[in-house]
Amino acid sequence: MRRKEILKKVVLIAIIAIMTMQCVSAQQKKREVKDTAEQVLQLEDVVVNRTKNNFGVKSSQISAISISKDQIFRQPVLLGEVDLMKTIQRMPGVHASGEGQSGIIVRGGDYDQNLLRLDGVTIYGTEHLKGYTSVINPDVIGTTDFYRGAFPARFGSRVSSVVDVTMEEGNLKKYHGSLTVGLLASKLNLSGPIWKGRTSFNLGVRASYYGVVIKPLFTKVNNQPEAMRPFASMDYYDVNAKITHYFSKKDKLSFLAYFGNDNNTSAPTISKVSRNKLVKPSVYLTWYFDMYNRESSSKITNTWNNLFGNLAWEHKFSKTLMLNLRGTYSRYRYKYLTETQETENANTAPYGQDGSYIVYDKTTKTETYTQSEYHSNIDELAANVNFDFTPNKWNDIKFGVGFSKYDLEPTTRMWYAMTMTQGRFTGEKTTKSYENEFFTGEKSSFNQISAFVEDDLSIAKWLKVNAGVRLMLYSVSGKSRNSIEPRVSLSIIPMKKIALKFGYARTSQALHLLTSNNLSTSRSLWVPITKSFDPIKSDIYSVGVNYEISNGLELSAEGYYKTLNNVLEYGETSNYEGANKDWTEKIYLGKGRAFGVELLLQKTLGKTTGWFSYTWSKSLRTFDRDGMVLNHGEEFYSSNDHRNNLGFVLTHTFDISAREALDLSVSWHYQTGRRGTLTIMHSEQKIPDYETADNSNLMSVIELQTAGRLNQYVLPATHHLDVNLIYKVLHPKGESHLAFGIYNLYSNKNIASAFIGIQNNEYVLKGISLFPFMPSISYTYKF
Amino acid sequence: MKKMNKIYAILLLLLAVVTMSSCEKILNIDESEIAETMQINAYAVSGENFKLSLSGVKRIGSSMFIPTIDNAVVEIEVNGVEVKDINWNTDKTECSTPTYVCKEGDKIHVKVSAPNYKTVRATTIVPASPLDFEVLDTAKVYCVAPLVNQGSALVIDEYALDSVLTIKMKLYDKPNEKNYYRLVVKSVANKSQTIMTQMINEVFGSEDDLFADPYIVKSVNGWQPFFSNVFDDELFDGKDCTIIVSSQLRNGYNKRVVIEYQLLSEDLYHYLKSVQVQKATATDIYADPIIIYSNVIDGVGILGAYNFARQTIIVK
Repeated sequence: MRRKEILKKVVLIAIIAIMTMQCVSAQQKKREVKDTAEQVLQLEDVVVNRTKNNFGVKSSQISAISISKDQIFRQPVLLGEVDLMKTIQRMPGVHASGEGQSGIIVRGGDYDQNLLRLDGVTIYGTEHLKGYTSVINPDVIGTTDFYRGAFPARFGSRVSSVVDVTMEEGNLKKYHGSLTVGLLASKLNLSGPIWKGRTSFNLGVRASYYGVVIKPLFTKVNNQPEAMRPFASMDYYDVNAKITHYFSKKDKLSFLAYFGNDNNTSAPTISKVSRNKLVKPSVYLTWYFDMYNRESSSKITNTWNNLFGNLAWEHKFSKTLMLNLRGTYSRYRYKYLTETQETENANTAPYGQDGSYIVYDKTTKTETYTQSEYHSNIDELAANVNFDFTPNKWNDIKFGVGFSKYDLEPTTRMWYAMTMTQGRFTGEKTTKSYENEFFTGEKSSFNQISAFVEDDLSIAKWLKVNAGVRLMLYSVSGKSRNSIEPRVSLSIIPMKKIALKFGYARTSQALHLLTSNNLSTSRSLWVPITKSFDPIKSDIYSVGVNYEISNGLELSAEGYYKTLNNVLEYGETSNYEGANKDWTEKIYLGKGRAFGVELLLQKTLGKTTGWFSYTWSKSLRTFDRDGMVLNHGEEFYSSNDHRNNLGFVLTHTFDISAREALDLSVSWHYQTGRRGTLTIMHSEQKIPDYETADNSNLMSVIELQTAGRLNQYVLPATHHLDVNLIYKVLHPKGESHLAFGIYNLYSNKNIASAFIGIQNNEYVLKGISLFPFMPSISYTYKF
Repeated sequence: MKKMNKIYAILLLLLAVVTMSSCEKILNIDESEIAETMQINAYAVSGENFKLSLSGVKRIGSSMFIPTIDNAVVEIEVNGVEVKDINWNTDKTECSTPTYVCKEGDKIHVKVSAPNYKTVRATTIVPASPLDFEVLDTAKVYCVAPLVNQGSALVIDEYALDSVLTIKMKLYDKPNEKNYYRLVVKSVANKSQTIMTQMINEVFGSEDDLFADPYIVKSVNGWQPFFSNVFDDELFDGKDCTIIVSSQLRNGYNKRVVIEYQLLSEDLYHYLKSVQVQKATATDIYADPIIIYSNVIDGVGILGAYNFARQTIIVK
């Protein structure tokens, strides 16, 4: 009876809520308008603020999307961790690097081929918490433009995509801020004047406490604690700070600083075997004790951090000419350490006192220790001088030069030690021990000079073009290379609401991320071009159509074809040969191609917004150069080959009362599984063996498991339905947001990684699904 | 009211099912490609007949036997000339060339086809013989008589491995070429003075850097960890190298240690390395998966070749 009453009350509240929606909306809009007006008022005198770019029908640009902060905050995400990169993953042409990961794979390119910039500074380690979230703190970002082809000439040094993010400037007149407490991390954002009207600051701080909430939750939810070992301990923190000073209406100086650190340790995998028994081999032989035990454990420690900053001066010479002078520094440190330890103790001891049975008085004890350590360090120092010249309303000319100095240190260290004791269990023993260490890699540097010019030109009402050229000069000790990179994006508008677009871009890249092709764990080393290894070069052709169905509702379709040259892969024997060989001796150069079609239907205005995106794509590689042959020189699928990617995001705002509103977001995402090389075959190998009986070379048989072809295995497709509900309340001095989210509502077992395990004494391929039904809650207070 | 209770119960049950679900899942493996994969293991050893073995492969975890291929057509070409004389074993899974004996420099091409399998091809060249090695010194340690009580008499324990022979030897490498080697050291003894049945211990050890291999992280079948008897000439390119190996002796009669210094084809070297590392890392979930090296196009396995120098040490 009581429940019935409660139910009635809930229904009543819901009806009242719906009835009051409209008046709340009006109230809230009023406040929003007021706030915006204040912002504009205080800034209009001095700030040249960037607004969200519109890459739709009216723009010359193809293969680009502008992402608003609102889109990022409303999208349902894993553990409630709002994230820019996860919003980008829902866009056409983009795939997630893995289940629950924030890394992006764009148009069949590699993970390292995406340029992530914050205020013009390149970020190398783009992920926190093994990829649960990206290093970009969404609280502090201003605008985000994402290019996946036809890159304007001002962008360079990566061949697959550009994510150009700006950090919001602090408020020049009032203090604002927000505090968010979530399941995975908490965030604090403060912004305000240091010198009213002149100098402002914007500060964002995040820190995670994975071990406090999420790890116990995962351990509870997942009934296989083994699967959680790689995630035993991990945490991060980061700090973003920006100070902006306006000298005058024409001059602005800004300083940006970021530091973020990650630490991830997997729990040791421990395996034990032991026996202790009395044995009598035959009636003729005596009793003896058989005592055996073997214990092994291994663990991984992975740490990485980014430190970067910039100092930028913006000067307006006139209404038509603006200068941007920028000096940047970006530092990245990465360490991946695996440690294994094994003790094997095999003893036999005679049973009884007869010393003649000495044959059973034996002991063998072997202790082994192994450490494999990978370091990847980068230091980039860069300076850029850019001009923006708008002589008339038809031309927007940008030109500039830049210089970057890169110092890289990709190193590996392998160390092992062994102690072996042999002899009599009850008597004399001999012990021998030895250790060995292998170091590879060294510090290397290269310089990069770039120059560009581009013009965003409106030739006629029906014809717009962004054309430009970028010149790149790479210089390593003793060798220089150049790359002339034409860029063009053209838009023909035959009807008011339809634009046909074409794009071409040649790009080059001098840095590579060498990644192990492993679906269970991966380690990565950033390596530079060398005397022998040329930069990656890519040509990408795009063609598309944009159709503005109505105001705020747009449909776009694109096709692309991309070629890649000088892509890198580890050589076929690299994971079992050449411990003392440098990375340069272990990698192969090859080529690749990728093609696909993309569809995007996007609604950006109104109470209901969202988008639907679909991508069909293929990505292939060929390694057939002399001495660098993979897969017998035949074309094979890249590890980033994903056939289908479908995303759907829908958001609606319900106005409950004058002070309350509810944002409901629903998203569904489907993605073809990751590709990788896995041990999937069982075979009987016959090894050449010398037979002493007849002095001939026969074949001895061993059974073993072998991986199939490169990237042959495709993990099962992943799909999940996610829901997010944000309850917003206005207070006299602030605003509260209470967000409830559910990731993977129908608890699909999405496989994040795979490994070879043993079940019923047979090898089997096991997949780990980390994120079943995952509820989340977070609270934000804004003031 | 009852209806509401039912709904609550169903919801609670659903939540429990969802949250307590396993995070591990056995993954399916597409067997169609595996089913048509043929494996060949074929070896061309200088001075011996060419031998080839055929089989299919199965997916890991399959309870089926590894498929046998007994209806294949094998074509062997040596220096462009077809070898027609091929002998098959009784179950038609292995063949050899009774009239052709492999010799240094021979280029051997093999093509094997069988119904329901992809046709495979592979090529190898028989390497030249390695430079002869020298045995500089030997020493026997742990000479404790391993006797067992057999009835009323004490007899030699034929399974014991108590005595160890250390052998100091000098290996040589040919200059101006990349060479790949395998060292085989086998302790052999006859079971009795009259019975010629041999007891063999093929495991040997060494602390020399030549054999150091950090990828072999654990002991497999009695071999010491971080040790591989397959190596290249990087540490003694064009020079000589003095090493000490130790072999646990088999007890019995006519005790001897046979040493074979094999010069391998490059493909065979990579293949043997991959096999050794795979055996040592098969159960390590953090280890990179090993693709067993293969020079067989459209199949798996190896067509390898080697030449050798051999010496026998009689143990007193």
